[in-house]
Amino acid sequence: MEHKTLRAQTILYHNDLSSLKKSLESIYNAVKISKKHGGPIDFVDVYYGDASAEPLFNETTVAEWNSQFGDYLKLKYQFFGFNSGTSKGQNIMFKDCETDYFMAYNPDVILCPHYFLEMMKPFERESGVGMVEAKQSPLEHPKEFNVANGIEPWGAMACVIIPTHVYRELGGLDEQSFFLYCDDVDFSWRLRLNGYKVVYQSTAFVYHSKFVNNKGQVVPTNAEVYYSAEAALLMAHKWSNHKLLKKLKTIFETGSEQQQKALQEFNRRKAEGLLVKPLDSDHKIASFEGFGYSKNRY
Amino acid sequence: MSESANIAKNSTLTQYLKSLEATCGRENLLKYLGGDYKYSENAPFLSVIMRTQGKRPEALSEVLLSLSGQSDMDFEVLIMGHNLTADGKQSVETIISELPSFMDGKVHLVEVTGGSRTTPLTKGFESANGRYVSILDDDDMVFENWVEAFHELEENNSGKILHSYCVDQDWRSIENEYGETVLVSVSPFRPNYCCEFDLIKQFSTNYCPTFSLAFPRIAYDLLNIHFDETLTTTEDWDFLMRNALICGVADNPIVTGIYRKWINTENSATLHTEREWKKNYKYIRNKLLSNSVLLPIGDSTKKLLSSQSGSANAGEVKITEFSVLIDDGAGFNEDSFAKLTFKCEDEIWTAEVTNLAKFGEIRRLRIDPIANGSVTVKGLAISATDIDGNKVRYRHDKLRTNGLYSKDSIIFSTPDPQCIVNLQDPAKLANLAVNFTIHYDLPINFFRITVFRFCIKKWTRAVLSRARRAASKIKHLIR
Repeated sequence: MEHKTLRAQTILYHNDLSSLKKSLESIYNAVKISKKHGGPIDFVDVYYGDASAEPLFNETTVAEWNSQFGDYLKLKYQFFGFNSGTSKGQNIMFKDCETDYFMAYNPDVILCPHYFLEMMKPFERESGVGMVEAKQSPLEHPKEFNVANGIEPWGAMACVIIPTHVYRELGGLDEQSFFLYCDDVDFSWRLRLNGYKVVYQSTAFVYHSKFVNNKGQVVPTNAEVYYSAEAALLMAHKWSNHKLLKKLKTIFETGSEQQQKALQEFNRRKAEGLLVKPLDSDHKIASFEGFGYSKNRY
Repeated sequence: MSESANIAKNSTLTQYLKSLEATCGRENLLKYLGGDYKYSENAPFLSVIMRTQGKRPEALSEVLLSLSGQSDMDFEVLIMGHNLTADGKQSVETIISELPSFMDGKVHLVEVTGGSRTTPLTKGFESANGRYVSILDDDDMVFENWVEAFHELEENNSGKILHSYCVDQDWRSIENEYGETVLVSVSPFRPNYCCEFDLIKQFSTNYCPTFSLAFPRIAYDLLNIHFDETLTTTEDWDFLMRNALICGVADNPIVTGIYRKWINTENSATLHTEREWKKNYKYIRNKLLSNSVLLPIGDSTKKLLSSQSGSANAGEVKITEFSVLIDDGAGFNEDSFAKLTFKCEDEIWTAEVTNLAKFGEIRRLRIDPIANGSVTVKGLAISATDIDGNKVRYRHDKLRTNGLYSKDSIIFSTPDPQCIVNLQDPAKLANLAVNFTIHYDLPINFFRITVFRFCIKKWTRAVLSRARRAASKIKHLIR
């Protein structure tokens, strides 16, 4: 199998070092297994961008980890000095990316041993694949996908692999609009707008820790409520869904504190001319379903 | 044998202790009571027993990944390979060997040949080194806090069974166009197993998936509470009950895992006939009934009394749902609830409201005996005092209700039971007392009453309809 190079990028934000190490060890292991089975990935450049208030790493720790895992990966660390959010942080780090593929992931996910072997399959078996998404475990995302071939309307960037030239061609994530949420939905839709496919590879799974309450529901934090409300307005604007935007504005006007705050921020950006130019005016790509971005299986 | 021993030989206590002694031996029993038991120095907190036949490598890999993600890594995993084929064995061995290094030495394959589906569990407990043992199937999944939740609970409940909550979810196993097995969730989480351990309810059905429990190994080793290998199904229920009745159960009310229900693949429900399930159920029930039981202090005794007596006190757990609502002209809404205090004497409850003056002129009162469900309210008597001290009584048969009157009772069998009192003139009330007895079930004659009333209604309608038709014919003839 043809050898490919890959860089794995993640944004740190006040993470616990032990969970970062566990995640890094799982990357190391997945590369080792890929090499053992003759897979295309036999070494990975891991790049940590630290958006925390104080640096999580010092040079010694980075050197120690590099010495421990150096057989299959090389760790690079950058302290931003400000809270970049995911979109801006990923774009900053991507600038000098020269590998064949680029992987964006949450810093604490644990990869299954066959991760790279499974994730690279869609790129090998068909052309035009712009992004491959891994299955999140134990909470699988409920969005609908084609079970036969894995094609899906959008991919969650908790753990994805993208050809580097595609990410560059699309100008990366939309950091002007999105701080935390929906940058992945927007990127997926832009991929499809440019003729690329988004594939859900459920045989490649990653452990992404989540909790549910005693009613079986995931309880979002206030920050999550705020950023998803802000992203909802921005998505409706950017993807030319004026009817939804109007509806959201009406709801948020008298909604929760976070929703009202999100609406104020949207109005501020609009007044200052900071909103991006809308896309997909003939609604060929965007698939708003209620307040979501795709049909769900349940 | 002394005379006193002879006198007490038929007592429940003697028989209970004798049966315990027969199961585990006097020496072990004394060791257990004296805490004279040592774990090996390197014993982990938890041994995870995982049965597999090597037929579901995708699911096995996924559950092992969820163990890799545990916040508390103080555990060992014993994969009990049952009747593995050569390919199956190789597949399981490969999966273990490819785990990341932080799982090194934690996961072991133990091969088991022959016996029933219970045999690997027996071998698992015999091979376990942990202070506690949990059974996690090769197709379930746990959250990061699974081991941690048990470990936290052990601190103040050592020796008890540890219990946490879990959700259930439907899954399908599908082959895609590339020949890969894809495991897909097809339903949201259901909180069916998010409830405290209820010993009394457990006598009739098992409400605890195996991985929501961790068993103290000391009970297995010293008290000889082992699996009943004659059972082909529900062996976990039998094992749990025999343990729970001796050790007791402690709850940690947080969700720690997903019980995956496979809707298109082979599972224990499809592998065994209904007759077999029923036979095993009956066998376990008979076993439970043939021994004396020990009830722990607290809820179990209370619940047992509640379910048997049907008295007013029986409803104590639900009496807080009894509510009185006040309509001061704005209708019944979330501000209408009056603050109640309850008293119970000789099975007659009194719900009192003392701060009615704040509602101003009251037009209607509403009594909801329960939030939802079946209930019978007997001898309902409502008395009020207005702000001038005048007493008013409202007769129960003058109320508007969605229940059914039967003598001095109102029977509610439909959702959201209500009784409404329409005050003829708006009144300024100071306080209110509602007396009643309450039964959280329907009377035995309920169905007779409803069928009888239904027949009377039908019969009356038929007679009236015929009478109308006859009158109309007569009118026509006269014309």
